[in-house]
Amino acid sequence: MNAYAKKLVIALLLLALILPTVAFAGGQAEGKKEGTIKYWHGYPEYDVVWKDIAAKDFMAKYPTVKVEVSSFPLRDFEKKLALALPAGSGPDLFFLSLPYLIKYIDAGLVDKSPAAVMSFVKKSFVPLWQVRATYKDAVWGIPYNGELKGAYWNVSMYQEAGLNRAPKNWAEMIDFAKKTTKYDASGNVVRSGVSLRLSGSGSGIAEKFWMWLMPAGGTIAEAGKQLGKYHAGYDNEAGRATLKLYIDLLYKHKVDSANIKHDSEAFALEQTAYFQREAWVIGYMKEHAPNVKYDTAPLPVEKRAGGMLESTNLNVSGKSTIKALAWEFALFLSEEKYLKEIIEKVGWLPCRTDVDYSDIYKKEPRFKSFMTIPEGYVGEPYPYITTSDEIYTKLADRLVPAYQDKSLLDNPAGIAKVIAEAAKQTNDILKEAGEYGE
Amino acid sequence: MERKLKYTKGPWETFKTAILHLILLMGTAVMLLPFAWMIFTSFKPSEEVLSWPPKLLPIRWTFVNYIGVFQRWPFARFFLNSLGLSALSTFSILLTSSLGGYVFSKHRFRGKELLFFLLLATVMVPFEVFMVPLYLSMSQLGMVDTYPGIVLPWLIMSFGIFFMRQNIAAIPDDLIDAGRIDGCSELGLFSNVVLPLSQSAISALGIFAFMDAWDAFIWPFIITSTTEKFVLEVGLAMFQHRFFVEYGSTTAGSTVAVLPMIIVFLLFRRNIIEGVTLTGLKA
Amino acid sequence: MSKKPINRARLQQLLFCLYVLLPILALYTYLRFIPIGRTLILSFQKWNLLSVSRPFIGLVNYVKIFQSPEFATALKNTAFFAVFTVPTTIAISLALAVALNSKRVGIVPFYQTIYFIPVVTSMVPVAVVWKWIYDPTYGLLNYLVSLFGMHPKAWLIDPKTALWAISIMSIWKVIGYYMVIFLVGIKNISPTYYEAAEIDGASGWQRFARITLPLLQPITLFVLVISSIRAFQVFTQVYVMTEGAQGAPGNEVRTFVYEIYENAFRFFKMGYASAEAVMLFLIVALFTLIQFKVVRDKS
Repeated sequence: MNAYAKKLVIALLLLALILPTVAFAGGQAEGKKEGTIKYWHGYPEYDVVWKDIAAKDFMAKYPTVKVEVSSFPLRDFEKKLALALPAGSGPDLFFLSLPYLIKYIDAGLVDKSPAAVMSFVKKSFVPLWQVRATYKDAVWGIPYNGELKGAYWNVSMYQEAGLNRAPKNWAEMIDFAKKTTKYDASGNVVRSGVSLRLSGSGSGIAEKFWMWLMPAGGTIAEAGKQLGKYHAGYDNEAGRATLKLYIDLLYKHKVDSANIKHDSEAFALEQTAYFQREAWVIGYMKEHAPNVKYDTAPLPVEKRAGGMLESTNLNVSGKSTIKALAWEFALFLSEEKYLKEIIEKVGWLPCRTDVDYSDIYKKEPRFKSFMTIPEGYVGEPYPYITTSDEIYTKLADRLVPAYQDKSLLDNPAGIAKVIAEAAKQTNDILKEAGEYGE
Repeated sequence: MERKLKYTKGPWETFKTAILHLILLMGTAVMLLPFAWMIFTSFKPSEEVLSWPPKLLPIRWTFVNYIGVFQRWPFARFFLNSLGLSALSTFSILLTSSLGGYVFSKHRFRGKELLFFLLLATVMVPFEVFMVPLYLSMSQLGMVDTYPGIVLPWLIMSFGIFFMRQNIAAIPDDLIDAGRIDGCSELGLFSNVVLPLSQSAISALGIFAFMDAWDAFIWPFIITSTTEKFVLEVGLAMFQHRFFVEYGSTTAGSTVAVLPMIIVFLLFRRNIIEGVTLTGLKA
Repeated sequence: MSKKPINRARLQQLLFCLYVLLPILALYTYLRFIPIGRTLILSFQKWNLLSVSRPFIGLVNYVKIFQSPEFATALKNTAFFAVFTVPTTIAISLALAVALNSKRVGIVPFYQTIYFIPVVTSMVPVAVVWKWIYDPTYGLLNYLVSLFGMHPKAWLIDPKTALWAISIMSIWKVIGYYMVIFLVGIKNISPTYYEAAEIDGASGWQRFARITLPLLQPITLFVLVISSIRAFQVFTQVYVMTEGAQGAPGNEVRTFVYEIYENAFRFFKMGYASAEAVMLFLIVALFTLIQFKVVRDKS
């Protein structure tokens, strides 16, 4: 080895040995104090409130307590939680929706909420949100953020077509979409009247299908008579009508196409006049496309007013050694001050209903469509099963080729076949996991 | 006997070189496009990140993304963590691979082929699969959220042992045997004959080992919980939200992250190309 | 020739092997052999990562694998991917290495660095740019294709072309890597061979075919084996190109590791995913053994 290489090797070795020692030493100095709350969540954008404000306030209130807020990229957060919680190397408090908590409950890794938390949930949330923390007649965790699905419509494009409000039902939606679609010389769609979710991977496609399915009167996994047992809820008029809607929008009314951009990106680039999503798009538009004139509206009603409604909750780990303290911090985070900070700084909406949010509506009226639950609204939670991801993913795998199948146009038998086969697979998945029930 | 190699540059040769350059240059554009997009986007303000059709250059250059990246997370710390992990890993892999490669190519013992294949076979199982049992066993040993816990899986590399074995095999056996007959110790043979002749291979392996550790994501992610222990790739993933990616921040972070790898490459590239060859060594 | 000196030398060599291999094997055992062994055991169990109970279910997972259409798709796609990308990658990176094997200061290092850049560019900008290249409306590829009078296509969304599109991007990303490996191999070939050939009046192509190729055999075997193993394990490219609303259809382009990953970490079917991993291992091991035999026999 020549002199240069030798020196390099020694330098690398020294660097490699010194750094971890220094770092480790630094870690040691912090030490293990009594009452260190470890809070894990999968939304780094929340740290600006939870870590920088709430945790600091809590530590100021209780000087002998330390709060460590750790955020992780969401796509892998559940993986980390699933490995850490059973191994005992997990957090005291974590942020997760009830449907995903079920398997932890069944594995005995989470305890029922204490009395103080139970009464808080009963007092401060309407029943629709209470349900989202209730399982097997017990309360597990505090609903924190959740909102309705809503629609976004481009005001300038609508005005251009002589329209001044969002569609209220499917017939209007189709009509408005036809009026706001733009084509190029060869007849291809260059600006969609409505933006559908047609391709990609994972459960997103099924979830967007579900968003249209709900107002049509159906759902993907319908609750059976027994708790925790479900069956396919779309092998019916509603399911067929929804698939028919997609096919018609693509091939009969030609208001969307697989060849242009979709979803929030399309809306920001003004390549679509209308699409359905959650409230985070408001913050997204402010950042990336501040000059686009748009407004929000409730989802169009077809057979009923309805949509998915889910909350992400604060939960305490069953293996935590400081459960009472962790719950206290969870209640602390649920205070009005922090909920409002989150709306302003992060753009996610709170579930808590005994708070007056009118000052928020004054600042950003477009949030209203996502926060006001109309009378008779059917808000459906995600099912309490372990197989939901599999069901949605496999359904998505069937929907993608179906959307590209032109032969389904004006072909009720073809549509019925696709739906029936997909529903059978859904039921098979449920049966295999022992989660099937009429 | 010295004979200078005359490279006649007739018109045919020049033409061939010109064609070669043309092809290589066209390739250059394709090779650099994502890299160029990454750098230019890191200087764009958020309103410009989404544009259609995409514009390469920013209209308004800004450092806001870089400032943001270092302010929101302890990015400098992530950088140091990655540096430490990669340096230690590279050193360990170079050591184990060159010694292992030497053993497998210039020694005989029973079961050598089988053992080699076993080591190689470990590459055939995707890491994400066996990391679950590994995590559980490390958790039992209390190594979760510790620096040794992060670095341990990166101390060895079957690819490295295989690579060095193939390269050391190219060294003529006569040279090794001569050394042995002369009474040279194995370690002496290793440092005086094998290592100098393997400079190219070691440099290349150094680049690959460094890169592999630098790019590590899933293991550091699941083994660490305190933000201060994150490595660069984990830090960068924090800008990928549930429904969209913060392209400004991600590209700024990625640009910073790519610099050491390019430096390592440039440093070792010369050693690869200008490594010592057989004829330069006294027999 | 007395027995003693030979025995001592042999002993010294064997001891050296022992000293080197012992720590390496210790590391391998804890970090690889034991976890992989546990994975094998898991493949005969049913586990969702969380429950304490891991019931033994025998070969049920394996039976399900043979009945699964997703597994068949993954197998087909991975095989296609390997067969297409491996020879292409080897050919292009070898050509690059030969072309760029020169001490001429200034130009060649420039090219070597440029062609290595995709290797170090992180996946996020790579995915963004390639999704744009393949875009149906404003993509670069459709623009080029239209210059030749062909129809624009939705390269990434159309199931027929999606896998080709991802394969080409994968080749693009790795040729710099194998170029470096070949450069190392070429460097090891003594110039005396070339000098002799020059004297004999051999052409460039002959020099390549008769000297470079045969002497590169150990390196070529290496590149063949490693790139095949990596091709069978392709995951990140597929994962990022199917992400998001503009992504390729996940089911159509699924590969082996994508399938394993989905079952392990999306559906929490750890036992089933482990069984799939064992299948992947068997297939790759078989393939590698064949490669070793074939390339060895050729010499």
